[in-house]
Amino acid sequence: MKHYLIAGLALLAFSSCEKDPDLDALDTDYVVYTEYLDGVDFSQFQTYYLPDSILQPGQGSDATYWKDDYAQMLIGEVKSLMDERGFTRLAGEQGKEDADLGVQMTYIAQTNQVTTGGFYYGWWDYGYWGPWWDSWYYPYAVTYTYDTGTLLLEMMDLTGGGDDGTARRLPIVWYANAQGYSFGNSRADVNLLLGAIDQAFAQSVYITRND
Amino acid sequence: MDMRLTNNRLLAPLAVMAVAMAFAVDADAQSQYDRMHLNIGWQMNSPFSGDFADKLGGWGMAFEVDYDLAARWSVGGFFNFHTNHKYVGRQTLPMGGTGALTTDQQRSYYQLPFGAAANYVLWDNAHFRPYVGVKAGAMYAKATTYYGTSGVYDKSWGFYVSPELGAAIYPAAGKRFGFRVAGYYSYATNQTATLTTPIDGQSNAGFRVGIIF
Repeated sequence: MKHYLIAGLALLAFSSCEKDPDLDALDTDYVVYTEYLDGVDFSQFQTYYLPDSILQPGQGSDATYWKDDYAQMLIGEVKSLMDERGFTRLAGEQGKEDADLGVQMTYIAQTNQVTTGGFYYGWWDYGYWGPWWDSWYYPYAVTYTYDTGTLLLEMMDLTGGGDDGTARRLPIVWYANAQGYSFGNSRADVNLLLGAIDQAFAQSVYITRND
Repeated sequence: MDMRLTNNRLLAPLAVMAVAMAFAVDADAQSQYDRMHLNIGWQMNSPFSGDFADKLGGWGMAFEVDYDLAARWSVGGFFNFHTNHKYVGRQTLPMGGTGALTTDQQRSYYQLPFGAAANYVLWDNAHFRPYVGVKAGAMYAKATTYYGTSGVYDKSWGFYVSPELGAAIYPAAGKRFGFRVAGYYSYATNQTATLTTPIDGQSNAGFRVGIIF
């Protein structure tokens, strides 16, 4: 009986309780979250102002702006979608003053450091070492990093502005947050961001002037 | 992530287990040896009362110690664990009244019930002993939804009950070693919520294959 008990306890000790899922099954497209100000009627707006650069916070004490061809592709995608929805883009300082909506874009590149192991999507597959392994066990801390990107789109209602000296809070009437892994390949990353912009507008059908 | 089982309620099944174990230490050593049985089994399980992770999966094991009270009756303690996974393709989920989230998901539901077990042998045969049994106790559950670069999880405790129908198969008559197969249903009162798929009570069905000695 003692031998059986020892064998049973050994089997128990070597069996891993909770099985991690196959995170490789997840696609690489960005997770896209959008939200709008309850009650806002987007058809009341006619024009919008969209800067020709993308803000990149966290690049130093001063604001940094992303302006290269890839940035222009992303800005152009937003412009194209806004135009499709019936809005008119205004340009120049006067255009910024006259526009009903302001649209600002922000991109946050982040390097994440993790001090545990085997849990991160894209890590080595333990199954590579044999079908009998069902998870990782790290007896000590292991550090690795991975890169993520977050694209923020914010739409402001500028119709309440004016230079009458009154302090006002700038209302955000729509917000989109797209987040995913950054693969270090500019073209591939931009394609993912373009898809995220398309998705943000696709799930925000209320942003329209079209009947 | 709330604790839904009070300490007193948690102690109840443990007390039953303690009583069951008391039988094991009451008799003389040889009698204990003859009457105690250890079951270790692999199980296939499918949650089916909701669509959180309703896929049949084999990532689980079952452990049970039984003590023969009488020729046909045995009582004991058990615990088992199981993880079921389900991939959900990319879809747009409404969040609140004005939000929307588009993502795919990899869901994982982990269950760890433990408590007391009782079995009744329907037909006593040297090679084949079919039985009906019931397990009751507490269950720990953890529901996780992985999406994008992270995930959300929720943990809970609940009550657990599981009737089962099975058979012990002894290739060599009179020997302790044998095989055990069983089909079971289980229900636990655990409540968890991740993203937009809450679980309010969980039913499972499955089967176990294992050894008994």
